[in-house]
Order: sequence, then C-alpha cells, then structure tokens
Amino acid sequence: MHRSDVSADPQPALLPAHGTPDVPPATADGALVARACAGDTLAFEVLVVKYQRRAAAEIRRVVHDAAVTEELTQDAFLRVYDALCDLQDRDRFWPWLRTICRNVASSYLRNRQNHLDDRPMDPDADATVAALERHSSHGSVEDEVAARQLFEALHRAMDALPDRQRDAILMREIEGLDYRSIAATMGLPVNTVKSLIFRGRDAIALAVRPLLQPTRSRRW
Amino acid sequence: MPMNDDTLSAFLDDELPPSRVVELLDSLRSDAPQAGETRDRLTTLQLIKDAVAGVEAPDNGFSLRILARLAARRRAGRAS
Repeated sequence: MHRSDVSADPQPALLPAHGTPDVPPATADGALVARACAGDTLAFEVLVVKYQRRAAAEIRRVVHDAAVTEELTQDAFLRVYDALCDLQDRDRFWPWLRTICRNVASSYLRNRQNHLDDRPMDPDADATVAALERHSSHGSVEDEVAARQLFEALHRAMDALPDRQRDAILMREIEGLDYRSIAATMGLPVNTVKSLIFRGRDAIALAVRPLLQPTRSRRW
Repeated sequence: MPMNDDTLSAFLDDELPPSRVVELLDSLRSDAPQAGETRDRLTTLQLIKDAVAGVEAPDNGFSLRILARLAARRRAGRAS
C-alpha cells in the first residue's frame, strides 16, 4: 500500500487507486479499503481484526500446523497490504484475501517439498522457516486451558439464549444468510433480526468478558 | 462518542452502510488510551461471531503481531 501512506489522516478523501474506478463503495469493507488506500492505517487495522481468524483458518486447512499458520497469516496480510490499492473490486475484500491465503499456504507447501527434494528454495520461504524456528513453543498450557474454558463458556451462553436469538445467530453464522434473508425466513422485520442477533451476542459477551479480561493487554 | 454495540454487530455482519464507516473509525480513534472500549467490544463480538461459525481461536497477541509486522513494513517503506 504505497500510495500516500500516512499514519494520521483522520478525514482522507476517497482517492482512486492505480487503475481502480472511482466508484463509491457499496459495502463497509469497500469503504475501509478505500480509506486504507488513502492512507488511513486504522481502516486497514479494522480489516485485519475482522478477518484474521478466518484468514488463519483458511491457511490452517492447508498446512495443519499452528506455528506455520501464524507466520503465513502474517505473510498473507503483508501481501494484502502491498497490493490493496490494486484491488479492482473493493467490495470483495474477503474473497480476495481468502485467495491470497490459499496461495500463500500452497506456496509454502511447494517450497517445503522443494526443500525436501533438495532443490533451490524461495528466499521468502527460507525467511519463514527461520521465523518458525524462533517460535518453537507456541502458547503455554495455561493459555490452552484458558482458551478451552473461554469457548466452553461461550457455547454454554449460546445454548442458553432464547430460541429466536439463537436461531437468528445460527442462520447468520452457519447458513451465511444476510439480515434480509433471515427476516424473510423468520417472518420478522429486518430491524427485529438485527436486534435479535445483537442481543444474543451481547448476552454471550456478558458471559465471556470476565474470561477475556486477563488477556486484554494482548489484544488490539 | 462510543458506537452502539448493535452498530458494531451489524458492521461485523457486513450490514453497516458504507457511509457509516467514518463514524466507526471516529469511534475507534476516540477510544480512551489503554481502555480501548470500542476496540474491546468490537474484538469481543468478532470472537463470538467466529466461534459460533466454528473458528475457535483466542487472540493472545495474534492481531498485534500482524499489525507489528505491518508497522515495520511501513517504516521500511518510508526509509527506502
């Protein structure tokens, strides 16, 4: 993201990027990409926070290793950052990021195989392997226990929700329906669906917040 | 001015109109130092959303490590 890369520009204009049509974004993600390209680093941070787990999950499906996944997820976001302003359809940020994650993971596996075959390796892959060696231990036993407690509490809270809140959340997260489709399925106004989903998540947040407090300083 | 949780929730579901992104960013910028109230609420809601979708991962510095590498990349870009 080399264009007008300034760290503090609270009200940047929506500047057209290289060859990118100056079309107003249709989604919040598209608006964040536009602002990030105009030099608003916070906008890019929000995209990282929103998608880091999904990005890591895409990579982990390919490499099956937690330490490798973290390193490659960082690599993927660096590639995204460098190429962000060349993204043609800014409203399709996640499909683009997902493709980059799959490419990074596949490239890693190919390079590892090349290495095993004693063929010349990609220098970037060498750097990744070196970084992995620095991360020989990944997460303490205490962290793993805390994570297990956190997600058990989260799912208990989910199970305890009123049926309509739980159903609306599951339709959103498992079936991937948007609010309008959920509203049509449940026979409710869209704003009611929005409220059901928010109130459900809020109740879960109340249940898990004490368990998140000890790690607050390690989060964004 | 902190953003309402229902608005943050809608943003994470891709249901926030793009015209309200400025409001979201302003709310994050006005977070009190150290407290980071809006950030805390946003990351908690995202963790819940991901976990319900089957991606269970606490953020024990994962995001911050990504952002640290990005910051290093930016610094290197400016220096060159």
